[in-house]
Amino acid sequence: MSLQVEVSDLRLTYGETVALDGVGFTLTGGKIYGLLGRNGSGKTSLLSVLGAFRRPGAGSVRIGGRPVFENAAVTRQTCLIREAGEASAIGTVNDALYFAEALRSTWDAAYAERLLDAFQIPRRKNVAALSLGKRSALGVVLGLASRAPVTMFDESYLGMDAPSRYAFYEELLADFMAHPRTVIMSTHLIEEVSSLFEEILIIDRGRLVLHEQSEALRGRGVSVTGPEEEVGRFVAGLTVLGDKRLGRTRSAMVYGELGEERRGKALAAGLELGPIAIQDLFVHLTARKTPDAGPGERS
Amino acid sequence: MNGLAAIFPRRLLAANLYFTLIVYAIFVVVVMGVAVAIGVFGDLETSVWERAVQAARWYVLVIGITVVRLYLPVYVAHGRTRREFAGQAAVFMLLFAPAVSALTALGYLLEGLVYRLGGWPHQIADRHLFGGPGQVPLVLAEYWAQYLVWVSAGALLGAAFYRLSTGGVLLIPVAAVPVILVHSATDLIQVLPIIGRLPTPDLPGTTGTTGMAITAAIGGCALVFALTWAFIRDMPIRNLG
Repeated sequence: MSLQVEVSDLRLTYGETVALDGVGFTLTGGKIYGLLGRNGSGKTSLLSVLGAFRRPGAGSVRIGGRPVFENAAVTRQTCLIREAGEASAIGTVNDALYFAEALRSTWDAAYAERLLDAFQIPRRKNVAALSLGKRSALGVVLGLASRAPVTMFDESYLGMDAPSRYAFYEELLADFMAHPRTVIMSTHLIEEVSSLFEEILIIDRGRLVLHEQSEALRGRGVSVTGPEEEVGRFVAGLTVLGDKRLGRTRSAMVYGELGEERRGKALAAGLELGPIAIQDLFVHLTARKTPDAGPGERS
Repeated sequence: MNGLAAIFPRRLLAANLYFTLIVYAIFVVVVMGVAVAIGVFGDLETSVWERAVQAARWYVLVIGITVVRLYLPVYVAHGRTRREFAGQAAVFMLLFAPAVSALTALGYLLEGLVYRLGGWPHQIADRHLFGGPGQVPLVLAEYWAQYLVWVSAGALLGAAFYRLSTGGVLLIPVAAVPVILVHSATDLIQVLPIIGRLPTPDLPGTTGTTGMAITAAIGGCALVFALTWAFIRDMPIRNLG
């Protein structure tokens, strides 16, 4: 089931602090979306409003064409997971599942059991006594087994070791293929997980900086690799996000699309052109002193 | 889900009653042990359970606090609205209070057996709605009224502290009003000795009628439920850490 998510002119404040400032976008649904942003950028606030954890201060949030906050028909279809899915103080892992099963009509108990085994989460242990990684893994279990048409994970990898994180990504992708739905993931581990994202939203200081298809985003930058002098001549006048050097070979990451003419010149000069890492673009787009954040990044 | 199933807090009730029964079993063993020890090594002339039940009131208060503080975020995280939670929490409290009052009455009966075996007089020391521990209907009425206001006061404080943090302290006097009213109709002096030193002959509690206690419990509970709803109807679920 694909539910469209529409956010319009969303504003949220905590006292004097503006957490979200006129955020607006539309997600057509049925995809895995990446929500990227620096610490304090407003990711959690945005997800909190989408998940009905908070009432929007101003603007509107609609899922499936209906407002979210205190709307049972909509909240039934959303699931926001932060750490252990709010179950940290509820008792044991079994207790957390006991309530999930009772409260979620779409709960898949068999899948939850399988995931508990996969992540090696002890069922009888108190949730609060689990390590941060295991609590996050429990949150992943609660999120995936919810089978909610709109499932959101807010930095759900926290504390998880690399094998657990990769197990999470594999499970997420496999379950998404078997049961297509809308998944929104906020993360800092951009390169590790970016291959999952079909679309990416970048938020910075409470404002949406970018909302784009992942492939199109990758096309916003180019890595230019070749002899140091040739690369230096080629990138002169362009916005260079970063450099890597190995001996006399240099790889420069350039922001902005190259036209056909420039690409031809690069090839003629024996330079290799390749895609740029989304993380580098993210750093560039959210840098605090960026003179040129690029045109048309607001959507 | 039909109307009754939607509002009946089956798992909330089951989870809390299961835990309560475990605590109760331990509590009964300890209290009876103390009573036997006093009987064997000293003079046992009144009910020990009557004194020990004060702990049950605080336990019920804590349950009221945790219902909001622990379960509201869980409900919202699993796609339930605050209104749905409030409905289930209210039904939970309305059922939890008589359940604990039944356990309290059972405690008096168990204590009566122990006292009979030991040959000790099983009588109460303080003023109550009931004249003796064997008057089960009046025992149930008194403790039902008390637990209802204690658990609902807990829910109000749980909501107030969750929403206002330390500002929740401002709601303590408000939450205390129905508690004092009910105790003034039942056993004010021994439970709240400071207030008990006020000119209680002028207070309703001094006449100690069951109707007064029930009216105070229902009215106070309704007031506290309304205030609690005012706090949670649009309460944000806190960010972690």
